Amino acid sequence: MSERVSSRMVLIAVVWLLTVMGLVWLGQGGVGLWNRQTEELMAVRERLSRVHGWLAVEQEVAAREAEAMGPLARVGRSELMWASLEGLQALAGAQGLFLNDLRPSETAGGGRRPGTIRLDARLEGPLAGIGKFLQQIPDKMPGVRLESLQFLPQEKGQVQALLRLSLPAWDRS
Amino acid sequence: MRSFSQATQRITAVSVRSGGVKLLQARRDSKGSVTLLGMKARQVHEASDEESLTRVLREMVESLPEPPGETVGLFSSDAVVTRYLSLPSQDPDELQAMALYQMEGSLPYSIEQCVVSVKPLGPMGEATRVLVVVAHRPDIERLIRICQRANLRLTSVASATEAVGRWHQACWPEGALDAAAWLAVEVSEDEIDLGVFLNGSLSYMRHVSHVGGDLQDLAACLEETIQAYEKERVGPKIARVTISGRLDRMAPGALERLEVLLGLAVHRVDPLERSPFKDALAVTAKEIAPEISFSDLLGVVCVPRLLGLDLLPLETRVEQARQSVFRQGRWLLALLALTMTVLAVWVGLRMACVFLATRQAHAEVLTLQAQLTRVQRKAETIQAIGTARDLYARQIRWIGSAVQHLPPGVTLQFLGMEGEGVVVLRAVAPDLTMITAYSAALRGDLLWATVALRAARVQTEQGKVEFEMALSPKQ
Repeated sequence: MSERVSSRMVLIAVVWLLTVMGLVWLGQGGVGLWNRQTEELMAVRERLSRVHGWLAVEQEVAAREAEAMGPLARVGRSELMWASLEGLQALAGAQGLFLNDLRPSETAGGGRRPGTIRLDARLEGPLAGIGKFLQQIPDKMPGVRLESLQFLPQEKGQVQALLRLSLPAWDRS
Repeated sequence: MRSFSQATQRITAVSVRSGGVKLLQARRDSKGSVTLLGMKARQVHEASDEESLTRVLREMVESLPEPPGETVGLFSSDAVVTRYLSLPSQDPDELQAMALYQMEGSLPYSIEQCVVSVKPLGPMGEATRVLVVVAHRPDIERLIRICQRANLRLTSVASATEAVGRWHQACWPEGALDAAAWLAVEVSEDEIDLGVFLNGSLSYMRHVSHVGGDLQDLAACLEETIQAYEKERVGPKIARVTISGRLDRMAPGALERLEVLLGLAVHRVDPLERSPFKDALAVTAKEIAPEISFSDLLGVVCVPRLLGLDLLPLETRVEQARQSVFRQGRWLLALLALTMTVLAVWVGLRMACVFLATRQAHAEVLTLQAQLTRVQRKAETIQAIGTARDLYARQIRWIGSAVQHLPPGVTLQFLGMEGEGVVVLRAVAPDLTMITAYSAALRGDLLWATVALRAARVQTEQGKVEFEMALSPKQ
């Protein structure tokens, strides 16, 4: 009787011990999994929050972008070059300058970087007019860069300049 | 020694004798108030047949209104041997051992076949007067076995005589029986249980079988008992007698004549008149036969203190304790398993919710990704345009500075941007002096960090100097 009771108690003790060890192991693994899941959820929720933050200001960004793009706001990618040339023509005419020998070119961009439109043009006219023309170019071509300006000798106060401009080929699709 | 807990308690008392089976259940609250729950008795024709007794008792137990709870079995005085000893010790364990030693050899069975209960009655000089009650072990085990098979777990086996005395005492709540020595008498069909109580505690017990039914026989029996008690010298003279049981067959005025015969006050204990359960017994008494007395069972459930005699074997107590430990262990294990299951289910549900929420958030991010990209591109466009405007404005300032500081005679030919911040200037000057003056004028402009002459070449035809400068603006 005592032997049977003793072996039974030993068996119960072993079962208890194995159960506790198993529970501890499960608990550790469960806690680790719980933490990883929670961290992942917090990370994705933070990312989603940032997305919502961006989308919340979408209209404002669009308005500011349209304002920054100016006359090119409604110009598509394929018409950007022609719109730029028209803008330069209008500026030159307003300053009494003669815009000639236009040679546009284009390079493709990579990834999220837009391509580049390059414009070579010859300007003829008074120096003061060329100065004002240069100052007003960004109004017609937002994002324009002045690559080079070469002055050619002229007579009677007239200046001839070779102008090279570059403009990001904004893809607004 | 056993004590009842202070909380509400259910007590069941059972008596299994040759005449039949009696069962009583009551509830005691923390204030000591007792409520009867059930009281049953059945005669068993095959009283010696254990199976019949078990079956009858099981049926009675199943009809109880509540589970048994604490269960006390009762043994009759005719089933035990009593002795009064004077032992030279006061230690309870030593008294037990000495009593066993002295009783050995004087019993009809061996000491191993006995269950003994020793109750100290009081000091007698340097010794202790004890009441020794010895029962035949098979009788006790038979009672335990019958009860176990009827789903009753006995927590003690008490003396019916002592229980009757407790019942008589409960019917006198004024405590009139506490101080004196009084004789409690329970009259049955043809036998009498007698017990002498000192200060409320049993000190002498006697069983008389085959008593005649008339008053003279009863008086003679009581007289013999009183003399036997006085002979044992266990206490003072008996002051009064309380009597209960089959008194209906006695003629009117019998108790008054008994008083005269004994020379003692005789009080009848009538449960219908002065018991704590007057209302309950008034209802129950109509349902049972008048020849059945419940005085012993009522005494068990009413007793406020300990029942001194207990014949439950030690090994039965040990086995019951072990079973209780295993039962509690199983309950604890079940509770732990349930808790772990609930916890696991909760954790699983929680993790499933987190997983689904994560997937949902990922899906939403993917859905909004295209829109986000458009917005971010527009923001980049705004930033790029702003940067380009700033750079273009600087370039215009650079051109303005280069043109502004041109000395007379110097002709600007080329202005170009080399890299992000170097302005290359080519011009023609009449002579080197003009170039030097121009360079000094440019260096005097706070716009430029460095002004460096890269090259200067004299034109052979006109004698003018072509030169190239590199201008680095300040950041």
